[in-house]
Amino acid sequence: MIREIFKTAYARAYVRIKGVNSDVTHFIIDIGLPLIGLSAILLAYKSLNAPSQFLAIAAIGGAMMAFWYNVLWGMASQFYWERETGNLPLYISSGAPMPGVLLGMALGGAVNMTIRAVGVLLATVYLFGIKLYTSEIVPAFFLFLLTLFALYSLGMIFASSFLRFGRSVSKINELLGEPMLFFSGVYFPVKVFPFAIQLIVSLIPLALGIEGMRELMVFGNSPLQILWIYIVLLLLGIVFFYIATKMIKYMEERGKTTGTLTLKWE
Amino acid sequence: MDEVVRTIDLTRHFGKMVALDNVNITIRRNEIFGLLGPNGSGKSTLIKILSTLLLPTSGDAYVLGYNVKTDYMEIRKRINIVAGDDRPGYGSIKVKENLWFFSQLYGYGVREGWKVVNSLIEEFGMQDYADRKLNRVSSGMFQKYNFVRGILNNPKLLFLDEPTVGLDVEISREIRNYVKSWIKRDPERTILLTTHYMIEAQELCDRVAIIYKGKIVKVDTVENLLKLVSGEHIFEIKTNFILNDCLEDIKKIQGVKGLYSDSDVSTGIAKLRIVMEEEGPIADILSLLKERNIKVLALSKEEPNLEDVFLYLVGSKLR
Repeated sequence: MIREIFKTAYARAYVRIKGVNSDVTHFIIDIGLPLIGLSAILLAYKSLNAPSQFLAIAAIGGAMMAFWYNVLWGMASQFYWERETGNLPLYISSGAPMPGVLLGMALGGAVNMTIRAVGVLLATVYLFGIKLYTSEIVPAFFLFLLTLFALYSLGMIFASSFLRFGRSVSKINELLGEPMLFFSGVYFPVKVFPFAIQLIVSLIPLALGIEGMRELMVFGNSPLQILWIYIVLLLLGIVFFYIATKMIKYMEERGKTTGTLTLKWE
Repeated sequence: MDEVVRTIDLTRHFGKMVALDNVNITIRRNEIFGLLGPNGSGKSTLIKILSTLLLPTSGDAYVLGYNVKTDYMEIRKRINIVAGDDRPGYGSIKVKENLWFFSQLYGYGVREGWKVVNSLIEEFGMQDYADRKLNRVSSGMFQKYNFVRGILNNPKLLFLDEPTVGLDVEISREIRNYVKSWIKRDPERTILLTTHYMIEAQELCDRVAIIYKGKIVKVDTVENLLKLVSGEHIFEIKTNFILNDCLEDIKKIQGVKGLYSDSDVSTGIAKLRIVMEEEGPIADILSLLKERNIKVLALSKEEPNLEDVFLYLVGSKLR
C-alpha cells in the first residue's frame, strides 16, 4: 500500500511539475509579479530608512507567501477542477490510493513553489542588498521542509474538505487568503500581536515557518533557541496529514451517497 | 463467469427525483450491452453505480461477482470508464505523458507504463500527435486518446458513456471500429455502452436495454427489438413548418402509435416521423396538415430503426 501511495504521488507530482514548468512564461510571471508586489514593500521600508533587518523580514515573508497561495489555489480547490474535467471520477474508479494523489499534488506544488520562492528571495537579495545569515542554512533548510510538510498537509485537508463545495470554493479561498497572510506576519514579525493572538497564530504553519526562518537567517539565532518551532511544525504536519487521509476517505464515501463525486457545475 | 453485471431492483433517488427505478439487468461476458435512452433517463446514473462512484438508494448490483457497495476496490481494479463529454487529463502536458500518468494510476510500474503507452500509441496510430500537448489536439484526437486511456488497464468491463457525443461522422465511425476490434480480441472483455445515437447502438450492440425515466422498458437483441416494429408502418413527412398543437392532434388520430418531429432551424423545414399500426391514418394526417395550411414537401415510407422501437415502446422521441 505504501508503495502504491508513493507511486501515485510520483505520477501526480510529475504531471504538476511538468505541466507548470512546460511554459517558460509561467516561470517568469510567477517570479516577476510577486517580486513587483514585494518590491513595493521593500521600497517603502527603504524610503523610511528602516533598519536593514526590516527588509530581510519582508523578503523572507514575501518569498514564503507564494506557498500559501499555492495551497489555496493549487491544492484546496484542485479537486473541484478535477471533477469538472472528469479526472476525479477516474482517480477514484482507478482504485489508486487517494492519499497518494493528494501527496503528489502537494509535492508537485511544493517543488514548483520552492523554485519560485528561491527565485524571488535571490532577486530581492540582489536588488535590495539584503543581508542574511548563511551560517544556519542547513537548519533553516530543515525548518523550511518541516514548514512545507505542515503547510501542505493542511492543504491536503482543504483539498479533501473542499470536495463538498461547488463553485463557492473561490470565495472560500478569498476568505482564507489575505487574513491568513496577515496573521502569518508576512511583512512584519508576529511578535507585534498580543500574546493571545500569537498563541493562535502559532498553529498556522506558515506563520511558524516564517518566524523560524527569520530567527535563523535574519537574527542569526541558533536552531536550539527555536527548537519549539521545529517540534510544533512536525506535530502539526503529522496531525494534519493524518486528518487529511481520513478526510479524503470520508468525503469519498459521502460523495458516493450524495452523488457529488461526479456532479458538475455545482 | 458468464454474468459480468447483475442488478437486482436497483433504485437511486436524488431527493424526490427517482433516477433509477427497480432496474433489473444482466450483462453477459464478451457482449456489448447498450443502454439506449434520452438525456435524463438514468443511463449515466446506472454507470456511476456500476463503476462504484455512486451508491444505490436500494437494491443491489454486482460487477464481475463483486458487490458495488462492499467490494468496490475489487471492482475498480477491473473496470474503466470513457465518457464522451469529459476532458480527462492535463492540457499542459503531452498526450503520451497523460497516458503514462493514467498508467501509473492503473498500477503499472514506471517503465512498464511507458512501454504499454508507447505500444498503444503505435497500435492506434497516434504517433503524429503523441508529443503534442493535450490542449493542442482536435476533438477527434482527444476522443481517441480518451479511448486509449480507457483500455490502458485492459479492463474486464469497459463503460462507454456517450463515447462519440459531439464528434463528426468520420471520427465516430473510427471510434466505433476501435470498440468492435477491441472486444473481439479477448473473450474476457465486456462493454456497457450508453448512447442516444440509434446508429451506434444498432451497429455495436449485441443486446440493448431501452431505458426511460429510470425504468428499463425492454431488453433484447437489436434484431428482436426491430421485430417489434416490423409489422408497423413508418412514414416520414417533410413540411414547411409545424406547430405543437398540430402534432398533438396528429397523435390523437386513431392508429398513430408514435410521433416525433425535428425542425431545421436554418431552412425551417420540419421532419415528422410517424409509427402507425396501418397505412390508413396517413390520409387523415395529410388532410389535417392541409387544413392547417401546412405544406407537405415530401412523403416517404421508411424502414424501421431503433428510434422507431423507442417511439413504439415509450411514445416519445429518443433525443
